[in-house]
Amino acid sequence: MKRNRRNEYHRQKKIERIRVKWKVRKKAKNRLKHKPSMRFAPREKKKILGNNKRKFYLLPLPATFSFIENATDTLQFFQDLKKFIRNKISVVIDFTNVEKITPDVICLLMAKVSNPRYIEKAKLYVNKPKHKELDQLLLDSGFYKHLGLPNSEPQQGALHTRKNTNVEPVVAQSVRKLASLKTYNCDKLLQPLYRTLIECMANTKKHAAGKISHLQETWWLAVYNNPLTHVTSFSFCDTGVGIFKSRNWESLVNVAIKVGLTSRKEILLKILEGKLTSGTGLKNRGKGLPKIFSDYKNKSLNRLIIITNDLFADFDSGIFVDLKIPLNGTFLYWEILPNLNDNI
Amino acid sequence: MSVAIKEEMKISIARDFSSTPGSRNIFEGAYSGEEFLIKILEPKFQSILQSDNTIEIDLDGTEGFATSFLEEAFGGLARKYDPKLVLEKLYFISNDEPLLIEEIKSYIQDARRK
Repeated sequence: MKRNRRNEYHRQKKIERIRVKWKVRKKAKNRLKHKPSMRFAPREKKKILGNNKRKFYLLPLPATFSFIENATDTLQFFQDLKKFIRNKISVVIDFTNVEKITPDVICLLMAKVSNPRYIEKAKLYVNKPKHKELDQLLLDSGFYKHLGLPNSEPQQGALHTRKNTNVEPVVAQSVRKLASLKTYNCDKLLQPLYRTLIECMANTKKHAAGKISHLQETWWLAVYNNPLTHVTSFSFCDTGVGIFKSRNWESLVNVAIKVGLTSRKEILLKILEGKLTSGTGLKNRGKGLPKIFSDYKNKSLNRLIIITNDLFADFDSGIFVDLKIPLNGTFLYWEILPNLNDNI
Repeated sequence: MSVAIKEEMKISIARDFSSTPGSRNIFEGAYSGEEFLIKILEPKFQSILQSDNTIEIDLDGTEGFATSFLEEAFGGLARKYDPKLVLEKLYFISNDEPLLIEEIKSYIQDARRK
């Protein structure tokens, strides 16, 4: 009798364990329900993996992999990537069918994949692009080196990337020299450019971590000189809280937006015109972004684009888009042109 | 009859501090406005307080100035001393970016606004 009871007890325990196991599996499956088209990578791609027998998913990139030209698809890609990473699934980022990559997206890609909070413990692999120039761009950026590919030491090409957590005047100076030499073919002072770099670094240092003051956010900078036009572009980003969330009036503004009293565009313009206080709440602060905007308005900087939280703002074309997938962080893009040197 | 002779002290930020000024506070990174205020500007300002002398500040020859550097250095000085006195005692030279002078003066005037 006792024996029967014991057996019954163990049977019930076993059933309970199986139930829990299936519950966990179902939960994991649901998490992946809205995954993009996933398939196993072809056998030849396994060369990249070496002896690694683990399963991995091939995550295709949009044909135009550009943050400034195709922000929606790019943010969708990063959201999908994060979904896999959160489920500890190794991913092969598939560049095979990419037709265009712009340096700004490489800056964002580097910022994301090198952030331990984003990448967690998942492994990333890569299928190189078909086009040689795109492959070279990724090599120059240090992306391949970050993934540990053989012979992937970045070369002194058209693209240069920098990163740090502090304000680095020496880095800003070296970037200014590089841009000056590539754009104007001489070493000339470019105060608005230097100032903008310092302001961006300082904003990351002071505001990117938001209320979690002990966190050190890393900024990333990509400088690219187009060999044909000699236009030098700068992409600066961090994966912090973003401009809107770094402000202490954020919750009030959210209510105002929901009620329809204002919009993200209006708020950003007010920040850039210096009409709204900084994240510190002090009157004598918050002059960095207005200075960048005034340098843009007097043509010392060109083609200013700011993407932060759920707003895409291209000031040249006047395009302001509320993004469905937000960017956790701040992204700034600007250019210096070879023939507009009088104001610089 | 004695004639008071105004002596002018000179500070060249590029020569005496750094050609690559940084941002506001020391913890943010190298060559901050706070560092410039503590190490260079305030000691010199204190040394001329009891005299008629002024300080000539040469802003030329640097890579450029972030707003936070200028606000912390000169606005910071005006938070410690009377802004009118700071404006009287400091004289600025900026051939590279002439508009910087007005900008700095506004930081000094607004330094104590809350």
